[in-house]
Amino acid sequence: MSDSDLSTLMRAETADPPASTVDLTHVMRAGRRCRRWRVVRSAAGAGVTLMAIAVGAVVFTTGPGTTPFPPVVVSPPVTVSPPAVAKAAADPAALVGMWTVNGRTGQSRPVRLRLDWMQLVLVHDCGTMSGQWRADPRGMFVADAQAAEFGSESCWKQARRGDLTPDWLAAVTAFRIVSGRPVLLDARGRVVVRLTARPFSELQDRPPGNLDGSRAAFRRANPTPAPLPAGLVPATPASLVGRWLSVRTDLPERRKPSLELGQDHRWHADDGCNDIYGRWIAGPDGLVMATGALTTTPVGCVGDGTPLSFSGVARAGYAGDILVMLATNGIELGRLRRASG
Amino acid sequence: MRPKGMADDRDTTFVEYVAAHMVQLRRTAYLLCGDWARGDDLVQRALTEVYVRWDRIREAGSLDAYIRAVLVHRFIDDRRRAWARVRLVAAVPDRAAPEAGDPAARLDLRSALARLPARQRAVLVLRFFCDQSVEQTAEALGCAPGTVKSQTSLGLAAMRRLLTQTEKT
Repeated sequence: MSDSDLSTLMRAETADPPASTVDLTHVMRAGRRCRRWRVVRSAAGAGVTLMAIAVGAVVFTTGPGTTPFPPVVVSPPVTVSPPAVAKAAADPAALVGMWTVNGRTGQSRPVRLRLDWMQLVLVHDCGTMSGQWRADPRGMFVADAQAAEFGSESCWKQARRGDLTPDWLAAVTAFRIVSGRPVLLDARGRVVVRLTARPFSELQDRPPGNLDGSRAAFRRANPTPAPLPAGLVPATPASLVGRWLSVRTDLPERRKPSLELGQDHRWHADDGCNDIYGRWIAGPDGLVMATGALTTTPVGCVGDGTPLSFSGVARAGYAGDILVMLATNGIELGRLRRASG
Repeated sequence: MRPKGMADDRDTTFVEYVAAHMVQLRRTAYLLCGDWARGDDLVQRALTEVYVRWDRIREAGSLDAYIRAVLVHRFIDDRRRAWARVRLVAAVPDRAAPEAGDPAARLDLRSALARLPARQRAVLVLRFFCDQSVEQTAEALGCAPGTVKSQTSLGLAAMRRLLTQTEKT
């Protein structure tokens, strides 16, 4: 194949482009917003520089997107708040819907939240975020944002921090249905936000668009977890916090497969090659719920995939000092041992 | 405060320029990404960046080269931060309609390009689709002309090998 052959192939390949989806109005609107931010940043930067000179300090700035995901806090593993468990059963499928979020979200305009049967979509000042959520009849709730469409400075700042989940959503560990309206609570049972219903079909491009169908799908996908097998001691939130390692002894030392459960409800797992980050909560009777997305391609490696299976855990218990993770149907997902020190 | 007339003139010249170059920009982005929708996203973000600096860029001249450079850099950045595009969906989106032309030949070129490293792919697209010289390509990528030459040679060899493999199978 000659150079001209490649040129010809490339021209043939692009000869018939489909209709453009480039939105020039959006380009100019976003560009104007960005220009305003540049002015603000320049002014702020000048102020910071003057202050730095005054105190004899030097201020360094870093480029966007260079900060890795912040480390999960696992030490000291002493305090982790369990979710505020409901006395009466709540229907988590009632959360499926399109909502206006009322509360301190830190946004200038009302945040819209769509909870599909599995995925969540957040529409806020700086664009759209998507992620996962879990809820159960005891009123436990956990959610995170795993992808964002960046449209402004605030999104950019979130991206630099590494964890896209907004603070208000990260604080939520429980829900209640009060007078037909969902209320999201923190670990102390305090109201974080209240949800007001909107038309479910509002975001046309997000399947599925049928509220009843989506609620039915949620119920099918979230059956009551099977009880812990006899002989296992139910895991408690505080006892789970920490670093857990593969029980296998034939793995290379270089990068040990591990699971880190943070007291800030974030978790991180590593099979020796791939990572998962997400959020988790644990309740009574060894109940555990986790969100999580594989952030790298699953490639074959000399490792152990057991830590990654925490994303599918429904209950956890102990066989002696070994952590046993179980799926919703009671099948054992794997065993891990606590890291020493 | 910028006078309104200047802002209008700014927008007019920007729109005129983009309208005249949109097709070529989209084609270049498509060859880089291998996907028209993602290519359009790339063009949109590159244009936003260009719009922000439009006054300075148009005064400096060599607009085409600048926009191509932004496009290529955003593409390479995207590849580095591929995790940021991870998207979990509850259902598979609708499938696109079948493409016109010889699908096998299209797939061959697309899959062969997709298997090249991002910078190597960018070099081939700039050199053989945008008809840029070694020096112009080096300037767009911010590297030495020698690097462009070696990347071109490696990229062409890889394309030759990949396309021949496809023909055999």
